[in-house]
Amino acid sequence: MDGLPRDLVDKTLLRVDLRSLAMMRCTSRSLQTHIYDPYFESEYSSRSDSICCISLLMAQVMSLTTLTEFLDGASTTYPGQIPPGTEFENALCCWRNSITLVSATEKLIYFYALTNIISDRRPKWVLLKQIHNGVMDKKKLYYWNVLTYNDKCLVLIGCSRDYNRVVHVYLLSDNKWVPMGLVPGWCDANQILACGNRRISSLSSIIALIDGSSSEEVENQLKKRSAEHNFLYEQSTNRKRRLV
Amino acid sequence: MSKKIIFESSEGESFEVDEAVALECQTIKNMIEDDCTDGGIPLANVNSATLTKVIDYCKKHVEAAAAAEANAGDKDIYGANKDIELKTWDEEFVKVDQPLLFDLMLAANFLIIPGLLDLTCKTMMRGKTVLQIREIFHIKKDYTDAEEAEVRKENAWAFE
Repeated sequence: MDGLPRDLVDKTLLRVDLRSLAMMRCTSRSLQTHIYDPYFESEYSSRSDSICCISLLMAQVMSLTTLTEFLDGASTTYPGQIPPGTEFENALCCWRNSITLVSATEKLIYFYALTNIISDRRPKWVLLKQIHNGVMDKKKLYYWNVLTYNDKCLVLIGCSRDYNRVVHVYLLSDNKWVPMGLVPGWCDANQILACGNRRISSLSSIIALIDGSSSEEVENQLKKRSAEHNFLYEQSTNRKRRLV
Repeated sequence: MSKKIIFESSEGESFEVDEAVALECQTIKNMIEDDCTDGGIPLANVNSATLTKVIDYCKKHVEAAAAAEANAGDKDIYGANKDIELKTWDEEFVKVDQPLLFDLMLAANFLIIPGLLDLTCKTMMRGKTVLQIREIFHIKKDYTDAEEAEVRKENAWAFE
């Protein structure tokens, strides 16, 4: 880049989206080397926001299909003994600058992080940690699933036979489960959404009361959030796989 | 009456702006704090056309910040201000030809206007092909054709 001062080259690279970054790589070898630098990757991902995360996610999931590959190879990748027929509840959660795949069975919950996002040709899912589930008893429940996760807590929701939904939160700092609340069966809200470092209940009427805003406005915003969430959720459920 | 700051473009043309507007530029802010802005600030590497645009940008963002402060209660439940109007304005603002956009980027870098640098960098790259990027940034191709084909294959998703 003869025409640009070096520091401006760096600044530009840090600011562009991933698609442009991929284009940049194709222009010259020195840029390719620069972008592959781990230092650049950490700088870039600390700047990028969740929007970037989502576009990245789409790029990875749709084109490279690492998730599919990962789930296809799951029997060998999952640690420990997994009884045949075990069903996994998977959810992809974007949190700040990272993507975590939460993969849960009735007994255990695994957290995988997508690493080598920029610098490596083959991004990998790496097991971060595993915790005991134990709160979702399938015999009493109609269904359950992983709702959301950030680096502070994990939220699971279970729907009992009487259609009441129980929300359980795992606090990572304390390593314990806390029942967060109950969504009665008659309530049409069925999503708890996470936003930033706050947990937001989608019980729009409650929010409206607290917030003072009109419930219609809240509803619209929640719908928007929910659509994004569902899109990601569908991405993961489409690839959900029963192990045999 | 608020204090005025005088900028002088590379052509020697003078531009008088409110201090609040000038404060949007970190470089100028430092100069104001050091009290060395008397008699105008010569900007030898920013031409008049670019400077006009830069001042427009700073003015708009100062006004928007003041308006946002006045309506501080008008936040959505996620705590974000409704800045769609400003975003639209920004988008219109960077609909300029490539050389001017390039100059704006250099000026934003020199004057340290983070918002404008962000905006111009992103706009500069958006939707550009590899050949266009090489042309804009004067990048010399140091790949062989085979190597380039290989690296393009690895990044195939970006071309879809």
